[in-house]
Amino acid sequence: MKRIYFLLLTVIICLSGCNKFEPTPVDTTDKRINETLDRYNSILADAEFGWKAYLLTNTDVAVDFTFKFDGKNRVSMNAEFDNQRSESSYRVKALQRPTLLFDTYSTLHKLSDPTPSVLGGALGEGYAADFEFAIVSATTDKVVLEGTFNKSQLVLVKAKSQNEIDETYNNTGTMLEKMAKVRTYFKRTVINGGDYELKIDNGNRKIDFIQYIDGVRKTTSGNFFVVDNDLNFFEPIVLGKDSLSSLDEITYDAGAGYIKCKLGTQELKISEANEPLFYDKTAVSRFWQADRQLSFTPWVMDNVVDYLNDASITAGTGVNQRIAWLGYDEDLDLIAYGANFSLRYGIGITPTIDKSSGMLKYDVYGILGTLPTVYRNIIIQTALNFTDPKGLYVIETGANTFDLVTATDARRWISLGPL
Amino acid sequence: MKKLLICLIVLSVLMVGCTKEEKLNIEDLRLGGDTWVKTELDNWLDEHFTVPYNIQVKYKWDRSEVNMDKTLVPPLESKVKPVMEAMEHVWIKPYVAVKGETFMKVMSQKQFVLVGSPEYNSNGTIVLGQAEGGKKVTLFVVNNFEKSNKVEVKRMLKTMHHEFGHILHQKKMFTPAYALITPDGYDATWFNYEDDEVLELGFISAYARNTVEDDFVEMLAIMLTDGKTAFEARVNSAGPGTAALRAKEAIIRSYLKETWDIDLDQLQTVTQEAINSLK
Repeated sequence: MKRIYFLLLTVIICLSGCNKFEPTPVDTTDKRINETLDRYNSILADAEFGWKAYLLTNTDVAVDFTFKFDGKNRVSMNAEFDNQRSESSYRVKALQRPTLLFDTYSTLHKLSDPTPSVLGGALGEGYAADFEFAIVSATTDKVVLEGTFNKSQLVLVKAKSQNEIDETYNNTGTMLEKMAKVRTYFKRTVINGGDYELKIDNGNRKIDFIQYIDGVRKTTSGNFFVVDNDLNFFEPIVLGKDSLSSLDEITYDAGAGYIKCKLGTQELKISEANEPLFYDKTAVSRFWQADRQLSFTPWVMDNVVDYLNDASITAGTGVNQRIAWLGYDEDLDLIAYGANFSLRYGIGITPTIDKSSGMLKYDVYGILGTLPTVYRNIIIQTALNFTDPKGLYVIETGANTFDLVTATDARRWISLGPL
Repeated sequence: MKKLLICLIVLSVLMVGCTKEEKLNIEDLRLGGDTWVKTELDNWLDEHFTVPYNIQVKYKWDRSEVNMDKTLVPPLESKVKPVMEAMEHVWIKPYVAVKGETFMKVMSQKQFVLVGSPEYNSNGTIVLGQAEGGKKVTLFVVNNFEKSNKVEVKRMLKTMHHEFGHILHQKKMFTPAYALITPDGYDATWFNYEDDEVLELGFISAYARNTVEDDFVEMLAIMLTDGKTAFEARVNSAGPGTAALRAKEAIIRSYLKETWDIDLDQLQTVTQEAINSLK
């Protein structure tokens, strides 16, 4: 009996020992809000050299800025598209969340300007950017923000020196050049033993990680920004069990011809490949259909977009369409230039489809209409690129969108889609 | 009984002991609107609008003041003073000259909201200004304002006179006879016509066809910003529309005189002088 009492006593003591009272917050909600706002304000203003800022608009346009907040509602900034520093005002205010407002017009607002003559973008919308950002997280080194209107993303990284601020845009430029050095359309890497094909879109600062699972193409994409030699994703990319928030210490090994970088402790190589990781031989049948009109974008070579300067043909000449007319006639496709759905000139090419290998081959047939002398070489080379002796890979990149890649060395490619 | 009394006393002592005075700390609420470190511009606006006319000039971004569905941007700080100088010179001062300061203190809206860009509508038109119940006037396209660009200056001033016209008739409505002058001419798709095309229909501008009220304030705004000579020429070139325009002019003239004791000719002259002397 005594034992039982003893045990009971122990249990009671133990239980009462577990009882923990959380004191209710002493301060009012308003006081805590104000403290938070003051803290964010000082984080922003305390960065002696300012912040390197990386914006991704809701239309996937990535733009770098630098900001310097003075703690007295004044901010000076410049942007990669406008290096001139200018001053405007800002506030940190409690809206639905603590919010950083750039509350008078600045370089940042140009991306939100609904008038296209300011900086382009859509009429009435701009680039779906923001100048009012909720503060998602903030440390003295990094502030992550989210636009309240268009959900664009903004990351501020504290600069440790004036030099870092000055080099912000150069770092991005250098990185993009480095990324372009892997020349082929097919770029490969291995992550945790899994093979991936990469598609690097420097224009939109975006990387596609392409996996083939049982022959089915699975693409995972992420937009990135560049801090020093690291490539950071705005949102972590999830590949199976792996989550990638950045690729670090990126270098290009000129001798070996590949990009080296670190993913956590893993070392990654991004290298050139002449052929796809997996080739979908049936894609050619979905691509080539008789009497089908598609539009094409100019050829890319070694990652140089429009290396032939095909854009000059459509600049101020009235020509406003590039038309690939498959099955224009029997055994004849047409690579043509038109104005408002009327053909001006072009080159006929004859297709040979090898369904067993899934390859598409072309020979030049002849010229349609009269090629303007100044553009003659561009147009002829555009057609000749289709005649790679080993043929073209047909890569289905989306619904009714295809890339054709030269099979000899995979260093030239062209994209086609709905007209 | 004694016991009960003791109990009551103890209880009341205890209850008194429980009374705790909570001090309401309103400082934390940061009432009194937005605050920021005031600049020279803020002081100038206070001095020229807030103190004399009790008008707030809101140029810093506040999404709750504008259309929540539209992409808009705040104004450039450097454009705020030039725009507001023009407003003071060409809108407030002429009315003050004709009617005195008290009139403007009473009649003017209590808030200006400035927006840098136009507001784009899905039908291809843009919004240049808005008046809300005599309380607030929103001016758009502030970032394009250049004092040296007379066309742009007149456009902005016309917007203001247009919106102030709304405030006047929202306080006291003009006669329903106005709506009977060109009753069939009002058309929500006014934007499909050019200004010159609608003159012969008896409308001073394409936008005047939107509603009777817009017709009324477009007439007033154009009379004031274009001046007597230009207005006369415009009306005389209207062909079959001239009579209707004259009838509308007569109603506006008598409305201003009878309702507000304003002489239209005098206001027109003073406004023209102000526009021409704007530097």
